[in-house]
Amino acid sequence: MTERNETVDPAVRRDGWIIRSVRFAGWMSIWVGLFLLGFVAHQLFVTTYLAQQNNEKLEVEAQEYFVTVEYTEIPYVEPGASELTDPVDVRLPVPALKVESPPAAHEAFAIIRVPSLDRLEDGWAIVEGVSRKDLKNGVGHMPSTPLPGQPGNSVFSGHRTTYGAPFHEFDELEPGDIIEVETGIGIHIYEVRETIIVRPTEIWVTQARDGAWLTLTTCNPKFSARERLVVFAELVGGPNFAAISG
Amino acid sequence: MMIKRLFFALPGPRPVQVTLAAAILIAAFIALMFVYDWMGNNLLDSGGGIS
Repeated sequence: MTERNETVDPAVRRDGWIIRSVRFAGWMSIWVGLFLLGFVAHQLFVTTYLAQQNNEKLEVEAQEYFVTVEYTEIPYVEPGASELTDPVDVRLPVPALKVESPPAAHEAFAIIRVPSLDRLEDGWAIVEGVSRKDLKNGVGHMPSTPLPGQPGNSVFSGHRTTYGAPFHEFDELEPGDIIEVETGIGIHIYEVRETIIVRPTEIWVTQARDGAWLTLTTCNPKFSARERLVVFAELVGGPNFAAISG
Repeated sequence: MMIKRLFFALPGPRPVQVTLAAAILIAAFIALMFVYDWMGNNLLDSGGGIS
């Protein structure tokens, strides 16, 4: 055996090494290709299928929540507005603000519709929470912010590419486009005011605002988590509009 | 060929080898889904949250 090895031509030995290397590289390319193909299929089709199945159930859950939700009506005084001190100062009575009880964590409590976007024309359920698990259902509400239709800045986050990609077409939104959010107290109508792109750490976009606002955040650009596309929309109609706008 | 060799290298009689191979395949599939999920969340689309 040893004797035979010693007689092998060095050129032939070198060629054998090259062939083995090329074969190894070929097989590795095939396996890496299959891995990446599986990744793309998983992200684009499997996650979307799962999210759509989930969303159908969550929309039913949200509709059931609308029937059972409890709310109270309170007089709304805009922050910073002066109290009635002069007895001669008679103001017209303002409509009361409807305040619904907060939903439980992970519960579907609202439905978002954007008539100008195909993907959100029929609506998408919103769950309470923005954890990774919550967002696998599509759209989540940041619990530390007000509920939609309430004064302040209500913040939602949603997927752009995977898990049904409910916010896929958000780059097509323009000022003046309408966003509807249905909750237990009615349909709140918002109008898009501004769209900006920020870094994922710019939490100022979630801060409180005067009036009633909706802030929607999603990944940007498509197929990347590098930045955030942020849409600001202001309340222009719905059960609480009269109370908030004064 | 390599997969065949790995299968025959599994311990025990044939039914045990088949069961072990099935268990390994299922575990590998689940691990692959976790890897895909992690890659998707970190590279492709994290859900759009601000933090």
